[in-house]
Amino acid sequence: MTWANIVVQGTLLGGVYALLACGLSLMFGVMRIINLAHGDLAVVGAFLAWAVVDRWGVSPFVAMILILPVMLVLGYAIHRAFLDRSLRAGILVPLLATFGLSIAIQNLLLEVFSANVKSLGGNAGRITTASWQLAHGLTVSALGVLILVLAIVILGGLQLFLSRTSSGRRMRATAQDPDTASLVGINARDVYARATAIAVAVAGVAGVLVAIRGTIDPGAGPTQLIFAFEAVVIGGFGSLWGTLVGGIILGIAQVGGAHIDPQYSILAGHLVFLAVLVRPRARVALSRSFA
Amino acid sequence: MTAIPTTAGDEDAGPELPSDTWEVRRWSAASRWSLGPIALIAVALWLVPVFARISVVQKLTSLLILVVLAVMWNALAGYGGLVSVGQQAFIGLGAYGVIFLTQHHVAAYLAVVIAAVGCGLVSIPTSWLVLRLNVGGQFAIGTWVVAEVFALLVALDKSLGGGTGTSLTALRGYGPHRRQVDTYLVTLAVTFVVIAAVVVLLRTSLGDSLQAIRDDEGAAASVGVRVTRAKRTLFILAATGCGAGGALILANTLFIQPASIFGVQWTAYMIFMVLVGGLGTFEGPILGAIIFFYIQDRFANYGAWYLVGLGVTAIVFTLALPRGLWGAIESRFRVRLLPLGHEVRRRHREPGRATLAGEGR
Amino acid sequence: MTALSVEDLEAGYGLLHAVRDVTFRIEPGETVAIVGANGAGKSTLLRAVAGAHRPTRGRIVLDGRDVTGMPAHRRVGLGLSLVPEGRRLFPDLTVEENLLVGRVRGRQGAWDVWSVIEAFPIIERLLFQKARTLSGGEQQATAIGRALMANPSVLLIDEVSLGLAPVAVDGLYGSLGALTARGTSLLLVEQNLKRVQAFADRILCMLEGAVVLEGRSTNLTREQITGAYFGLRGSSPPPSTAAATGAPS
Repeated sequence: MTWANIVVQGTLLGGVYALLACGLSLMFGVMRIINLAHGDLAVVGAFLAWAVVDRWGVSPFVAMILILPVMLVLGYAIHRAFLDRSLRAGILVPLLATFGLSIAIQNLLLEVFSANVKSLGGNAGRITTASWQLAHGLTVSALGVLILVLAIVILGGLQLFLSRTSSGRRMRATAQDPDTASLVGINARDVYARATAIAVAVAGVAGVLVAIRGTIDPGAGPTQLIFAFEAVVIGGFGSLWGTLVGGIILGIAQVGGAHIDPQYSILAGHLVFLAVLVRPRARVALSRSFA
Repeated sequence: MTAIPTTAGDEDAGPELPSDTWEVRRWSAASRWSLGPIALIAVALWLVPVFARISVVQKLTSLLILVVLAVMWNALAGYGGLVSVGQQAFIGLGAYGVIFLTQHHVAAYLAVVIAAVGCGLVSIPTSWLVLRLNVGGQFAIGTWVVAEVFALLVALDKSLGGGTGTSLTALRGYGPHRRQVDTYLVTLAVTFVVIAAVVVLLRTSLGDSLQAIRDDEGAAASVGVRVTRAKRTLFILAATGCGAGGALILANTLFIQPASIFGVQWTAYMIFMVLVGGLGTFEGPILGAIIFFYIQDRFANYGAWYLVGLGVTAIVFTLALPRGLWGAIESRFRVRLLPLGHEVRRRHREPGRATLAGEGR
Repeated sequence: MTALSVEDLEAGYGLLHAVRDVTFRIEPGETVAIVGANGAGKSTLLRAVAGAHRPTRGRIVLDGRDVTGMPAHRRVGLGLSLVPEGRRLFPDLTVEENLLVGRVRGRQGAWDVWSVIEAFPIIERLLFQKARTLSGGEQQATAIGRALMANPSVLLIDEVSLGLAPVAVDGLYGSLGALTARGTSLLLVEQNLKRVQAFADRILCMLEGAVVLEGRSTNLTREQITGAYFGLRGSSPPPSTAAATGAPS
């Protein structure tokens, strides 16, 4: 029964990781950059939601929806402010610039909110404690299911956006060939800014859910980034659904590791990630372009 | 120096020009001039403990460690194009290597050397992993994950002190004054070795290979440059240097914890120093280390705002001054202090005489 | 009003001048062909006109409007489209998606997916195939179709028939003829001098970045063109003679 439990719990955990990874995957697919501040932006979303809950006492889920437009604007602004210029300056520059942003965000949050951990679980209501018993020894938390469903819905929505809408089509075209995209009338800068906006907004949602599930603190960004990146690599760069698979595998690895010893959980995730790197097939997936 | 013949002008193009030959020189006038001052500085640094207060010696030790780290990160990113966000893996490994070795009765300063070499050895299989990640950002996070793995593994080992940290007891026998001076001198020696290693490496064909790789990796590979081997050499060098740095940090501060010695803030410092000083230049990281040391000394009390400032400065520098302060100086005044560049000079050949006339860039 | 006017254009790569002091005009419905050896600057000229390459000097006026400083995507919105060298379709988009992506807001007109299929029938059965699977001729047709979706008033095509089978080129030129009949101006780069003389109204010959010969295709002899093409002394008249100003003979 424990194996089934590990798989189930791991899968539910995977929903969070898939959401965290989604924005990272989108930005990499469209712009070929890894936003090193991605995790910190998720944390920003969590803290914004916490501030809203703290001030107006609404449910964290309502706060999550309220901060969405803020995160969209924030992502767009970050892109126009400096990420856009970084992209044109070479490969190193976006990495360094986003790393600088990461440091700046972490310490800004530290100054504004203090180092204490925060949690949104307490305000989320009964859903955080509700669960169903599937079988003997196998319980499934309602919150976990909700998060997984949310992840699937958001990933699906993004996939539909990319494949069916004209805006999504333009994004895919720009991802494949930005020079030619401008020759056919696409404003590449605008496309990139939108991609960043979407990525940051989804990261914010993921951050709120992490805070509902557990705790969050100003320094939690890098950890979220690493999990997101591992989920993308395990699932294979180039597809959003791969991100879900990667997240689930990572979740299962971590839960499995924790089962052996709680100290091993994160390490187990890292080892699975490194193992995927060693597999030759992973290398092919790593360089596949966004379609 | 090689002479490169040029073709003479068109036959009916007018009066005959003296045929020029070109040669390639590595020592510019500035680099020859600076040899003297550099030697003087080196000697002065050796003599510091004789003249200065012990607190100055301690600060200089910290500064020199920063120089080592900056030079190593620049070697990776500036010369190799490899942005590593995980060098703290080797900083921590070097420090804990010393702990491990001294627990097994190896002399402290010898342990520093062995630990550094050990980091170099560990970096070989590590490079097999991380050099597979070809796109820049993937390499960055890959190295970060490696650092996290090292940190977790060390924290799990109780004999190394676990998560709460350990101290370097092997140096307890020395008096604090003697210990600080010895640590300083060892650090100074390591700094010279590291800088010399980079200079030597860049003057060999590896330096040219790296330039080619930086310009266009595919084209470099197609003319026979062993791209992966060049990168691996850099990676091993940087790991050894950072390992030495970590070992010296331990010798200087005597107490470490996994969370801090394996922390990503070391990368933040290295990035800051190299970006501000000058990415891809030789003198840049040294300048950046000096600036960073001053800033840290002065502003660290401001807590998180100081780090926010660091982060914002890094962003501004990447966008406005991508080649850093030294890079700006270098392009403005066309100065290069060390014989690392290539200059093409024209040598006019008068009939019956061979003289060197003027500089041609 | 002149459809496109290029004045004193200079463009290059660092110290290399690829386009030197080029001036010409295109009237509505006119077809102008640019010929020249490789490296003569033809592609750079087209890219500079389209906005993909920043010129160091000169002006580009589209339909009376100065577009010199405008980014490429805005010029498309004003009616200037380029089919780049090598076709450059979006490889993982289907043919239909490639066409749809060429649509530009504010430029509705005669061209939509159906009329493009009518003009280039070979596309029809390929609509849902990924662009990377197409042959050269199919790609060229799709690329031109994609540019047409923006209903341009001036269409630039770089290397019309390069790498294509003669049969495919026949079909292409047939469709291009229908285009000009509707009033679209064409600026083509073409290596095939026979096609050029048969199809274009005027011909510009470029050599080492400058226009060395210009004239109505009916006025210029084959020898004149090939002479200018190869830069042979004595066989190309200087650009200032009457024959080159476009006056009908």
